[in-house]
Amino acid sequence: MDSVLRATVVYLFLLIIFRIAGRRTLGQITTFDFVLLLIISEATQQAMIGEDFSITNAILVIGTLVALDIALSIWKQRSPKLDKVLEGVPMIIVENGRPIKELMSRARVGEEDVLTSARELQGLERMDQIKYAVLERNGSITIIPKQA
Amino acid sequence: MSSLQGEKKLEIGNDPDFQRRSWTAQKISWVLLGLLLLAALLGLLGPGPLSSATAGNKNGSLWLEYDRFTRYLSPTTLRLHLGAGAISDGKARVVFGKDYLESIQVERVTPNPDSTETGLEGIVYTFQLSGPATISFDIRLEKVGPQTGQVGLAKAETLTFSQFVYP
Repeated sequence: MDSVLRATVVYLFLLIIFRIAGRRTLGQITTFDFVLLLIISEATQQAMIGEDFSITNAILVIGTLVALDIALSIWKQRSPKLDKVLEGVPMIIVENGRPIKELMSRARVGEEDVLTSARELQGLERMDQIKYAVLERNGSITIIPKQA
Repeated sequence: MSSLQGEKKLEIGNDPDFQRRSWTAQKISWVLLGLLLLAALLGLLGPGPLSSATAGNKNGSLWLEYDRFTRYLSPTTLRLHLGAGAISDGKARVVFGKDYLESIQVERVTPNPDSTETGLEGIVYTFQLSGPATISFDIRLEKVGPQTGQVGLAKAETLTFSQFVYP
């Protein structure tokens, strides 16, 4: 009983904490973010395993996590509202070469980030070559170039 | 607003209203997270300044230092201060209430007791002491929620204290 409850509480807490941290946190992983992830996983592990190092416990914890993940993905598919709440919505941050500053600052995305994606994905050189830049639900920025 | 035009042309299912509401929710959650950490720093979620408490009269023969807030299976210490009045014939007999004993694991008692006996009301620790002393009980609580403890001197005063154990 303990293992299932522990895993559930930790799963839900992580779900909430990463949602409130905002998508930029995991979207573009810097070296430090990577280290942070490692530390978080270490701290999480202690709380989930407790002092029970048995295989049964490990199986129960893993089983609970995967079951929650499956259940949530089914639920999200059936309820678009829950999907929005958990995953957020995509957002247009550059339109016809004009960055929408207010949205970008609230989403903690800089023009530099947009230009990086533009170079990476489309080989674009300047902001005015971008038709749309979209901050996606997973935190990445996608670029639609203006037709030449 | 200009991004509304984009909505017509781009099929991406954006939702500016929802976006704004979720930012608000995010800001509120940041504040809540901050408050949680502040509470932890103050000692409301475990050991800390507001958690340290004492029971009994500091000038009397017996008083106790303990943590009001502790966590499931995490180490905590009860510090029992024995005055001259607690010692007779070079011995002090400390009694732990039975109910409290059922919710703790005793890891270590310093100094080592001379003897321990189990009585009706709980465990009696006998210490050989030549003068006032402090005895530390390193324990872990294994029950969650509010707990009431009793510790005292055999056939003399008893101190009652409460602790809250977080899961």
